[in-house]
Amino acid sequence: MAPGKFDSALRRWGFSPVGIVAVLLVFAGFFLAVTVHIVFFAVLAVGAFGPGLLRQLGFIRDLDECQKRASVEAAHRAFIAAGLFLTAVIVARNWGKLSLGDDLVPASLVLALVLVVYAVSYCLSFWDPRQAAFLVLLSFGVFWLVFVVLSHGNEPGPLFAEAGLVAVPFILAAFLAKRWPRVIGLLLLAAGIAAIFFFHLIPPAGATPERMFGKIGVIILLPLPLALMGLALLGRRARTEEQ
Amino acid sequence: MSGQLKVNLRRYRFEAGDLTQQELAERVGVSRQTIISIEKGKYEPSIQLALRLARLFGVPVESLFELEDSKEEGNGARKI
Repeated sequence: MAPGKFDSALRRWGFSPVGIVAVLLVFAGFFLAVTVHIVFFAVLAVGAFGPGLLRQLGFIRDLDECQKRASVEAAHRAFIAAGLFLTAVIVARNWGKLSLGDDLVPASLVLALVLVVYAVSYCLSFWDPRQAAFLVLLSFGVFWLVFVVLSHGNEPGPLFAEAGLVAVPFILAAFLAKRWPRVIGLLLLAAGIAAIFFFHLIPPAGATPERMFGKIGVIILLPLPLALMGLALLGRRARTEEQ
Repeated sequence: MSGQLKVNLRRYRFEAGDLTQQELAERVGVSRQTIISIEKGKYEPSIQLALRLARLFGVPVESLFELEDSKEEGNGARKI
C-alpha cells in the first residue's frame, strides 16, 4: 500500500500517524524507564508533549479546525484538573503551617508555572500585545509589591530597596509599554536576561535540587514574564511593519 | 441569547448525488468526524469552512446554516 493510501486508511479508522507514534513513544518510554534507566522517561515526555509542542510551533499541521477545538477544550480541562489537584496537594502538604514547604518539586512551583503560562498566553491571544503587556506587567508589579510589603512591611530600608528594584520597574514598564512598545520591548528583554545574572538565577553545577527549584521559581516569577512581554512587544512591531 | 444553528448539510449532500461524509470531508479538507459533528450540530464550523462548503454545493451559506431565533429574541423583536 502506498504511503498516502496507508495514511488515508489510518485516518478513516480515526487514527493519525502522529498519534500512533506518540502513543508508541509513551509506552516505550515508560517500559524503558522502569526496566533500563529512568532517563528513558524523557522518551515518554517526547511522546506525551512532543506533538502538542510541534503543533504550537507550526511544524505539524495535522489537525482540522474541529480537532483543534477539541484539543483546546481538552487542554483547558487538563489545566483546571491539574490546578485543582496541585492546590489540594499544597494545602494537604502544608496543613497547619505558614509556609509552602520544601518538597523536592514544590507543587506551588508547578502551580505558579501553569498559572503564569496560562495568564500570559491568554492575554497575548485575546488582546493586542501592548494591552497584554500592560496587564501582565501591572499584575506582576502589584504581585511583587504586595509580596515585598508583606515581607518587609516594618523595615523601610529593605522595603524601598526591593520595591524599587523589583516591583516598580514592572509597574513603570506597564505604563510605558503602551507609549513606546519597541523601546520597552527591548528593555524588558534585556532586563529579563540581566535579572538572571543579577539575582544569580543560573543554578551552579552540583546545586541541591531544592536550591535549583527555588531558583527556577524566581525565574518563573521575574525574568520569564519580562522576557516574554519583551518578545511580544518586539514581535508586534515586526508584524505592524509587515502589514 | 444566541439562536440555535440549523444545519442543512445532510440534505445538500444527498442532493449532490449521495455524496458520502468521507467524500465531502476530503473535498473540503477536514476529517470525516468533523463533518459528522457539523451535521449533528455538535460543532459550529468556522466562517472559512462554511464558505468552502457553500462554494462546493454552489449555494449561499445561509442555505446550509440557518440561525433559528430564540424565544427571547423573537419577543424582543416584536416589542420593537
